[in-house]
Amino acid sequence: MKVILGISAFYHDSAACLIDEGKIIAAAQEERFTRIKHDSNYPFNSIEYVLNFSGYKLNQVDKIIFYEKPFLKLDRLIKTYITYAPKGFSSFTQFFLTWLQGKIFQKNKLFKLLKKHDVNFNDKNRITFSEHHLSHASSAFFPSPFEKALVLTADGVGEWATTTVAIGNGNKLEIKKEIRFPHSLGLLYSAFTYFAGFKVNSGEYKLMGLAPYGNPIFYEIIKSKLIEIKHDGSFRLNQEYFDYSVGFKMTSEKFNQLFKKKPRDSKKEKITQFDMDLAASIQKVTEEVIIKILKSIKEEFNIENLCLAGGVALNCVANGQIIKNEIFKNVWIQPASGDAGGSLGAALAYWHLHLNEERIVEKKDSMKGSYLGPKFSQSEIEKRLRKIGAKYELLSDNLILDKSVELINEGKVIGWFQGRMEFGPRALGSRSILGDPRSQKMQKILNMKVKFRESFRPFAPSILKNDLKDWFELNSDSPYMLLVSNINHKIQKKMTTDEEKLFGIEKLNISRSKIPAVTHVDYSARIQTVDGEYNKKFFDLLTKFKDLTGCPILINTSFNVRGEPIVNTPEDAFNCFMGTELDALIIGNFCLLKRNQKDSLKKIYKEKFELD
Amino acid sequence: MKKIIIEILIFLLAFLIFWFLIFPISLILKFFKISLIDLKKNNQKTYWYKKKKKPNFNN
Repeated sequence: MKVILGISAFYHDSAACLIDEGKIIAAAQEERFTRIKHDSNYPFNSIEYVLNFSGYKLNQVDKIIFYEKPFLKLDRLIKTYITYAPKGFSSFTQFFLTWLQGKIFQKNKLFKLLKKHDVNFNDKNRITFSEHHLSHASSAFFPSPFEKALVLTADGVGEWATTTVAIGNGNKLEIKKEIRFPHSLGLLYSAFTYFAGFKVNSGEYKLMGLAPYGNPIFYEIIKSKLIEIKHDGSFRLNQEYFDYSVGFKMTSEKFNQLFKKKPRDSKKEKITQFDMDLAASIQKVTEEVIIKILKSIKEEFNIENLCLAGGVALNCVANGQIIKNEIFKNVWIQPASGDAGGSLGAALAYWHLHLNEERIVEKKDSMKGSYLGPKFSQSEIEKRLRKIGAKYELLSDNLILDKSVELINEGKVIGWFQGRMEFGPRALGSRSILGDPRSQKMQKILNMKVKFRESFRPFAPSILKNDLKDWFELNSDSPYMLLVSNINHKIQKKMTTDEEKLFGIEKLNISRSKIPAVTHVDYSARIQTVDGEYNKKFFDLLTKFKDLTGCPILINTSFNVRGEPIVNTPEDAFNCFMGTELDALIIGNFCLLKRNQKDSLKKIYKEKFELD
Repeated sequence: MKKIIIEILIFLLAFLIFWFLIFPISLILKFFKISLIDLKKNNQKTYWYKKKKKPNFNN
């Protein structure tokens, strides 16, 4: 046995991953193909891609692993309804229909869907199932650079577990303890996301971005009424304040009474200082729980390395606190920490735990920089650009970098499309929008004219790894943009007393460092360190920008607009380029300038995607 | 039309299961103060559960 296909689907962020002899070959999220953000449908396109990329037919795949166990999930749901009945009848009828339509017979459903890839695929017994949090833990430990590590996973909920602690050693991984539904750090954060008027399962990072504008004035209320935290970080949520167990909402009427208001209606109400304070408060509580858990398990198991996965591990501010607290000597976070990464973890779990296959620990990690998605050759790009009717110029390897750097230095915003697409929610220099971080107005331009998103949202910097210490107060590598740290105090510009008094979002207009476009109001930034091992072209671009300007940093934001999945194909990139105020598109070695394109090719893009 | 009839039948089935199976079981368990999910407010030292089962890959 050697080829394993991992699948995550039917909740959110469907994805597929293929491993061959334990090596990660390809992985991609379905949303990138269907252009539906967080697409939860069967990942037909992702599976087609990983099969085509690896050159296998489905019938040649030895095992197909689904990332969670539907019957255990059903067990949890039925027991929850029994506990709360007669409450929950409305949601039960809806859930019953969904389960009857497929989940009870999920193996049959998967078999029928898989047959569409290859009519010769006839063996239903090749389909098997991993546990949700085991998939997360495997995705965190097996690709990590550690021989032995503690693994913490935390998300909304899988089958029963919401938080787990595991120990990984060689090719073994054992979950030691867990916190169970309905007590969930992920669901607590999502409840506040909902209350602040953002979408659950996608708006959590917005709440995190909003937190630095606020003061944690509700911290004590949350701790006294909503969550009880033990000294070892284990916790329990007071269910009287929540509605997520059997209801359609995240929070209950009692929650509204506690905060003396109803959940914010994002269509009618603007973000206020209240929402910012709420965000700051729940962020503080989340960090406290995570740090307490980590201190406690470090003491209990005395292992120096830590791996993280699960949706909560995408909270880069909390991750930054983990590094800052120096609880562990080394920390590694799975870049696809959400459910998409479950496909990868499920496949690796089967390979190492069930088949007992050897694990080779790589010095950096085994994720190949998370560049696991589709790529397009120069000729393929040209063929597609010609078909669209785009006007382009083909440049040499060196000149395309010179041109890109020149454009960015002139204050232009460019779309950057190179090599294999990233697996996971972050753009890491393959499908990115790039700009000059030294520009004071760049954040506003990018938010309003390019990304069409809320003005409070910060942008992230990509920096040459060797220059990290001169610019940021971070002593750790952050190749997957999963750590938040402060700007080095030497380049910070302190705000005056009057400026400090400004209302949250207004602070954004104050220059707070030499790189204002990537400096959040609290002087923090979500950092990507770039060393060129897996994305040489992006590394060379940063090096050239440094040579020209002395600044080894670029703004790096995902190549999409608000509500749109990150671009996958050259056509997606061109559509986004023509639908926004991007000045140029650098795609492979082709340079496309907006002023050269036909007006008739311009897209009305703003309303195309449902706002998230 | 067929789809609507199936949906009505599924709704009726859900109605019957909820009110004639789930609800009575719920009442009985409440009478005996048994909860199938962890809602107790005991003064436990910790809320961690030890995981005993080895992983398997069955459905």
